[in-house]
Amino acid sequence: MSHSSGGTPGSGTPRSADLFAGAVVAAVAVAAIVVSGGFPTMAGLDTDVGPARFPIIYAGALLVLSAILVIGRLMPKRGAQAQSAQAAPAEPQAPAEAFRFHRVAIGVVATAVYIYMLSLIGYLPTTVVFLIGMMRLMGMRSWVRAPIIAVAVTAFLYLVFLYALQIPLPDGSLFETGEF
Amino acid sequence: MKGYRFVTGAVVGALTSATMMVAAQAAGYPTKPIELTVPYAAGGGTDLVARAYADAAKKHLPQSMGVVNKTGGAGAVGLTEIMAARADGYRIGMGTVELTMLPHMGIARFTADDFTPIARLNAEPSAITVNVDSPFKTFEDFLANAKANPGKVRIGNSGTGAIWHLAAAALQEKTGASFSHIPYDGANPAVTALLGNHIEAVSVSPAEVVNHVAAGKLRILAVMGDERSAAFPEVPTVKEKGIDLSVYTWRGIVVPKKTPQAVVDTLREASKATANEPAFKETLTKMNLTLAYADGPEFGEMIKKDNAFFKDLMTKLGMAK
Amino acid sequence: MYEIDMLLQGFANLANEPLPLLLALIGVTLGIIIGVLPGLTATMGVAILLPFTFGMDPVSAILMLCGVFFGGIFGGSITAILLKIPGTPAAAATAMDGYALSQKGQAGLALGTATLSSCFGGFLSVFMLIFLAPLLAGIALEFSAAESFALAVFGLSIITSVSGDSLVKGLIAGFLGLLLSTVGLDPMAGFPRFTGGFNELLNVPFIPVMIGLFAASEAFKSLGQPETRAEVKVYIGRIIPPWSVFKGLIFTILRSSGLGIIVGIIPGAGADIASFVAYNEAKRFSKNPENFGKGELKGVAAAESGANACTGGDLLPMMTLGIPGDAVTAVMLGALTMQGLQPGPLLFKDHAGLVFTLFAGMLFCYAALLIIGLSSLRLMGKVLEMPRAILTPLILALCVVGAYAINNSMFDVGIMLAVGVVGFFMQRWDYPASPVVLALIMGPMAEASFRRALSLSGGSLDFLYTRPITLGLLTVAVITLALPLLRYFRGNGGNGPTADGATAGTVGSAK
Repeated sequence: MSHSSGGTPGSGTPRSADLFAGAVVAAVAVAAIVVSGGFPTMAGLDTDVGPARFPIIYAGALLVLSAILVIGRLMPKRGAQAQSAQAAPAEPQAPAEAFRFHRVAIGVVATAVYIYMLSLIGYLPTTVVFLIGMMRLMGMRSWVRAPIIAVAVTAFLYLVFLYALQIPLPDGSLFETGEF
Repeated sequence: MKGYRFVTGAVVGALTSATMMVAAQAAGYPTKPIELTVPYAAGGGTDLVARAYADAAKKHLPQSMGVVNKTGGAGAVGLTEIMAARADGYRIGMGTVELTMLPHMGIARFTADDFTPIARLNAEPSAITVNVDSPFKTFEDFLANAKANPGKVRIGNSGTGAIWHLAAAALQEKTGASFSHIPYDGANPAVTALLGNHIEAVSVSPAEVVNHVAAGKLRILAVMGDERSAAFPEVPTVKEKGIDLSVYTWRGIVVPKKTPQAVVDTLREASKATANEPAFKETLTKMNLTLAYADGPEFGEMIKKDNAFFKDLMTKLGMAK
Repeated sequence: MYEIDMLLQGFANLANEPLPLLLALIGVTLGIIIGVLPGLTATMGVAILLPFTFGMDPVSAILMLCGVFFGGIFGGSITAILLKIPGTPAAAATAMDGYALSQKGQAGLALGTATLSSCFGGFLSVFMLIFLAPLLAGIALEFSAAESFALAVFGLSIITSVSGDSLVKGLIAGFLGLLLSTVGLDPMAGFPRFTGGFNELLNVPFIPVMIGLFAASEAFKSLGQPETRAEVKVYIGRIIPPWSVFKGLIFTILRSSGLGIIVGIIPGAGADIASFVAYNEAKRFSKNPENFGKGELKGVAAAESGANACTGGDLLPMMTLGIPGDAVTAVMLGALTMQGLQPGPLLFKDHAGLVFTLFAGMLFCYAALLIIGLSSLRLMGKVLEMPRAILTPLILALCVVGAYAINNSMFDVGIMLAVGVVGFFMQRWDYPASPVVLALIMGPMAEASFRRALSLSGGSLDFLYTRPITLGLLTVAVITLALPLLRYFRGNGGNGPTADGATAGTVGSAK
């Protein structure tokens, strides 16, 4: 893998994952073809192939590719190989400890909540809270260092974006009328 | 820059508000910095006009003005934001001709009536420009050829449904000639294609080809304006050629419809003074843009006229939803 | 020789007036910082800085913008190498081998090579701008829609060479990217596709997707990794490659620079395309193409010299013909115009002194980039020593502001998060991210150019084989496509389409 060599936590792709991904890709492709079917065929230019042609070609290719992926994985030999690959050490540096999916899930949800709150009550308070929370999640237990770093990073980013890049970060829609 | 403006704006504002008080009739408006929303990216023509305006307006308002770019959707995102902003005059917008075009395409949640015009600042007509090697020496040549060879004359524009496409389509509509419209991703690529002789003409504004005309690479045949362009007094208008057509792109300050009259009046007065600022005029000139100040009511008339014109045209072209 | 005299004169002008040099230094530094931050591109940096330059004299203004431009293109590679987070699209090509080198403990060597290659590419392109500008300017005008289409197809064919071990997964990633690239207003008819009624989706949200795909997904992965990993000793090591190593890179750098310059001259093609094209050709000419993607120094050198050689190429048609090839040069054109200089043939005639002062300044910018780059690398490398408990939250915070900054839009931040989650699973299940980036760069160009070419030719497909440049590029594309397919089918015997997992595991454990 060009992109994940040495960096990917799980070194083999489980068979179920390939089958699942194949199904998702096929579903996306079918949906794209269905939606494209509703595009107008000729929108003003008579020397044009229309807006639907390219999406349909791409989606068709995806259908074929997902079929190859799924069929390749359904062959018994392939399955066996994947099982062994999955059983291989997950992390070259620390084979003993497993990848913690729950932390990823918490992180994703926390980021989503952060983004939502950011638009409501503004950049400054939410970012400080988010950073402290994430640092604790990542195992930084200090109640001194974490808040200091969080406040410093937040202030730094806010000021850089406002003054150097002229991009005011959101103040929050709840405080829309407030002073700057 | 913006921060600088905030700080100096506050200081200058505090010092001058007592003496200048343009804002007298608006019960203290503005009491905090104003945000000018630009629906196009930083560094582009509309953005530069907005920044020049915001800079020059400092002298005529007790508060500073900061520019914020809200890009996306051919301007639809930013214009929607302006339309939906709290109507208190603290978030005003740079309206462009697209606000009379996008609603008819069914990709906007606003209509031209959702805005109160404050002042038009700039307007550029469409122009028919050809390569200097082109066999078309005059506008008549060009038109006669397009009529004789339907669909053979390829006119580059800045995107389907964009202003210069509609200008060429309107010309086709008015004259009965038939062009092949080639959309490009903006005016610059269309001009590049014309320089490479890949198309016969472009319908972009004189400002967008002035460099190449000066360098002797391109030739403007006619402008679709009400009068001749000041930069090219020798180029005729299509009206002189008996075609009743004028298509302009324009930029001006607009606010949401429900903005209080007092705030609107304050902004109108400040805009009038700003448009007369030498610094503002100089910036426009440097950018090869034409100052075309029009006060709110006059600007509103033009928006109304354009709105009707584009609705009619886009319906005829089958683009309206 | 006229050019050399004028250039020396230009250096003399600069030496007499240190202000433009100082501003150029500031520009380069700012550019590097902007490049490092995910989401902030060189284009954005130049656009943001533009209003600041209005009050300056022309030389200062243009040189400061050039500094940001050059620095921005280079800066993206630093985080690409250290963290696998390309700061700019062009650096996505650098990340492939750069990060693999970091993993092997050779981060310093990768960073040093990237800096040296960037500067070499940059120097070469500026010299080309000085000596060959009139000769090469014509290329820009030769390129019409048909040629652009062929270039885009060639670009897309590179997907096969950046797919890693599983061609099927690489192609799936690529075609997903292509499908994604059709979101928004259709380029010819202006019809909104797959927008679900959101105006924000009328343009493909390229930058938010890129941040999500590379940076956010990487941060999510890091969240799940056991803490013990943080204690692993990471070191920067040697920065400047030894001569014996560098010697082997010279041809790669020269070839990549040449390619970068030409891609730069072509309208509509910028550093992102140049870096991938250069990477692809480096792999094609390599004796060991299988090493690419696993920490091949040539991959880093090619991507970086290609991307930075593109800068001079980009500036060439803008300065000589007055036609900007991409967004950065469109803004630079605006800057020149605002300074009262009309780019085009007349610029060289009427303002020759100034033009050559600018050229001298550009060479200075690249010299500054070399020095600032090399001297800051150890500091940048400190990032690796930062505990992950601080680094990961910081990256997530940067993802959010970076995605917001591009359009001032919370909608984009949402897209970034969604793509981040998808990217996390793509990474776990061995779908490479580079094909998606390539597809997002090339997809819109391929579709718009094809349909434009079709309109230009009145509906006939003749343009595919009657134009020499088009035919040539399409042939190269077919060769690029055919080689891995051939290898794939030949090697299919015992090693089926999805045998990548095992290979990646081997590489990992061999570390």
